[in-house]
Amino acid sequence: MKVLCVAEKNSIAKAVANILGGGRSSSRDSGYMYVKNYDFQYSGFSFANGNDCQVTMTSVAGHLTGIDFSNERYGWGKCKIEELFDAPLSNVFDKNQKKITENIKREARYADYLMIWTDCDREGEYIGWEIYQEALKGNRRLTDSQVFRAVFSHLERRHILSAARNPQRLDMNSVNAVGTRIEIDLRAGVTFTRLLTDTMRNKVIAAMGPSATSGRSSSDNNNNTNSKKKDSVVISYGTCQFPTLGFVVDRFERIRNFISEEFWTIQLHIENKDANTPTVFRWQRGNLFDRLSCLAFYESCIEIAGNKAKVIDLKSKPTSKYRPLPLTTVELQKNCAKFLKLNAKQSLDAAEKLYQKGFVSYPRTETDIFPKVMDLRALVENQAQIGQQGRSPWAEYAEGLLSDDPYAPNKYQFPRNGTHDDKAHPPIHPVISLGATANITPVERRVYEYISRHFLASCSTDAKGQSTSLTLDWADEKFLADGLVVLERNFLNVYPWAKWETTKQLPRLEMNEECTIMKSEMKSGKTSPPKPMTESELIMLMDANGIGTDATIAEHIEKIQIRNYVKSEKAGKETYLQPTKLGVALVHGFEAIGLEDSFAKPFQRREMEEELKKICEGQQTRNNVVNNIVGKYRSYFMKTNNSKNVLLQVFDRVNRQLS
Amino acid sequence: MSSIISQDITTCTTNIPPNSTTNSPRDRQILDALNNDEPDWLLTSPNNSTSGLKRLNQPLLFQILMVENISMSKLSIIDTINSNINPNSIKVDTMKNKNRKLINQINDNDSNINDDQINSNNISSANSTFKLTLQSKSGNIYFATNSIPLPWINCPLGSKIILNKNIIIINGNTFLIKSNSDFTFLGGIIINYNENKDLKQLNYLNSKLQRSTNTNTNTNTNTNTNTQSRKRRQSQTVE
Repeated sequence: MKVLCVAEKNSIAKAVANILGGGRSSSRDSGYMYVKNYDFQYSGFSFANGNDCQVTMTSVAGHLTGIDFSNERYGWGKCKIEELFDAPLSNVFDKNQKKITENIKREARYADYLMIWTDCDREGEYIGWEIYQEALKGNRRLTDSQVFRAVFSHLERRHILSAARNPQRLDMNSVNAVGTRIEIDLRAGVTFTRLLTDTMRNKVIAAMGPSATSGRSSSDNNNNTNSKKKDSVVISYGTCQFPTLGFVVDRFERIRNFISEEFWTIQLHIENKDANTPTVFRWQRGNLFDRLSCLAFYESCIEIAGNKAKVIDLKSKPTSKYRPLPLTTVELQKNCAKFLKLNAKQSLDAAEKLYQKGFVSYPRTETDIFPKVMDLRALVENQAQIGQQGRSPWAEYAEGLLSDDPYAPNKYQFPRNGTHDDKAHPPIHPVISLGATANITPVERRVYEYISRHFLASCSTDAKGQSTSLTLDWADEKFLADGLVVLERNFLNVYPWAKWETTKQLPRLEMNEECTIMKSEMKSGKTSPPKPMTESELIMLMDANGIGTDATIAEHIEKIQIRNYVKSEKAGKETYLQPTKLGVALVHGFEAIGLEDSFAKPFQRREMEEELKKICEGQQTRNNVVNNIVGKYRSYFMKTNNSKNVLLQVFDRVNRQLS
Repeated sequence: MSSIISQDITTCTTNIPPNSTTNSPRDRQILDALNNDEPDWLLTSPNNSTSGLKRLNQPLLFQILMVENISMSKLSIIDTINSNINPNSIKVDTMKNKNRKLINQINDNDSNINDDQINSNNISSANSTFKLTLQSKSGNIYFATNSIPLPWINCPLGSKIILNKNIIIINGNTFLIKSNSDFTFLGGIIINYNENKDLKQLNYLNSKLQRSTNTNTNTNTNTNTNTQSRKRRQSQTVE
């Protein structure tokens, strides 16, 4: 019996072949230099009833096909742009994809079964379907009943063997959702890219030079290639790019229009015999943006209560700083940007490489809940590297977590549960420990360290402390001071990025005790402008607003920089994202037309993501969603086409203002 | 009596004697407060450095000209009003607005949607401190600030309030509302004060911000001396 297995990348095919073949697989060329065919014998497939099978494991390299309009009929300048909202779509293959599809067709010819080993996410499901379609062209005898799907999230041996023994089916709802997304992105992307470029190209070149924008619209791949001139300036539109740009421009404008305001507050200084300095109590009312009112409070307190205040609340209670939740992709990208100063693409690329090399689990996941059946203790043991040479700096901590000492405060604990479960992959975790001589890059090593420390922290005990809070009443106004004593650092010892420190001791006062105020002050301050957008903030905003997926957020951020809509600027240790004149002009241009909610704000894209989710859940159909959303873009197109002058006027205005 | 609470008290004339037998206790309370004259020390005392805290010796009727949330910066209030006027303009660069959804369409038959849901971005939170601008019947302007929550704080402009005997007044112009016995809220309205209220408030806040920018620019040269003298005034060692 012949089985053809196809993974999403060669590294996965090689690793899976090695596991299923028991280390006895032989490799052949596929016709494409980055893909190999691995042959081996395996008898564990349930669909083959345990019979010995002759297996060929091969791979694709991401998507197997592209979708585009026919260049002859619908190329740039060859049709009215609005025709593209209805124009037929066809599959297109680039040079490499042709070689890969030929290999799939050839290898499928005599196959009795096809098993898809693509990544277990929506996109992987769609790639699996693309593979099936190509395999069918090579072997018409294949039917749905002979096509299986391996469900796996990392390359640990037992996990892969279990995936081979328990095959599932392709999820056609997910396939349809991705198909919908691709079609909408293509139609909206190509139409608006052509409209914006044709409208603004000359003005942008005149104002900013021919290198103002670079690269090509990803959604207009083939149809741009016929014009090198157009390639030099393409003002690209993408349904995720624009809202991503919108976040950055909104922050930029908030800073540009910021006016500092004065505020006032009241503070009380109370003697503290246990400290060298008095304890400062803050006003419960916080800051007031009106001097006269603050002064009224201040004077009335002095007149009514003089220098006496009374303790009206005294609380001392155990408190905890919670260990981190299990790690998701967005959290990984956000924290690597914040703690390691790596951009989202760098951290995701490194995590992807670590996954392909078998060091960590699949790094694209929304799940922050570990399945109860997972043996996490074994993973901690693995990190402890007991008896190994060149142990990692956190190995001793991992060993301590597993200690039998009944008095050890920091014991292994099953991680906390978050609230997200994509039902496809567990949270990101280390799979095998890292030797000192492992063949990985310095960036991969740093990301691995972060993933391992995060995992160990999530399997640790919360940090423990004692918090005290004192509330004083001064003529009916409340003043507060808090204190903290950290008693057990626990997970903080392996997670240096979380800060939780003991504060100064509070004065020893008792409930209802009257105390003397050493000094009462009415203080003033000024509001300061927000800081420009950081990448970790942008990731958080995109995630919260449903722009892109955990897997594509990094791409969108990179893309708006390549398009020259946003540039990154370093200030001290922090890197900020600042919009360019073109970026600002595009956002304000669509605002001026009255389409801000559909373009520069996240609302339209969020609506589309919600519709895609409904397709995945079987509550919506591809046709309905495409007709509805493409219909909206058609009306936005008409409106924009009738307001081209507005776009140009706004560009001129922004160019003048920001020069 | 309803005529008093819905008219401008600076131009209001009433011929009803306060002790008329036809008046309800509430009517008599309103008429008393309206007929009482402001004590001489009100308003004149800011120039008198010894004035400090006093208590009102008789109830007085006021109309509310403006309510400002002084726990929020003017820029935040402007942002909130702008996004209420035009939800499409809402700034999305903070997590504050992450759950906000645009309401582009309302089903008339859906009685579950009310105005509060539509205007979900409110500038009146229960814990905020407010500054009320009040006007007496003689046209004098006073201020009041609250240390207790005021459930009627979203009242229409021109609403009437009686500030009761014994309420604290600081420097002759700012009342402190510290308990429910300090006031009697009467409601009412002056309709033209409420026309285009949001736009009027936006203009007011914008010009106030502009003024403070200009003042800052003009006084930059004298910053050191001013800061020092302000610190002397505002910081007091009580001992």
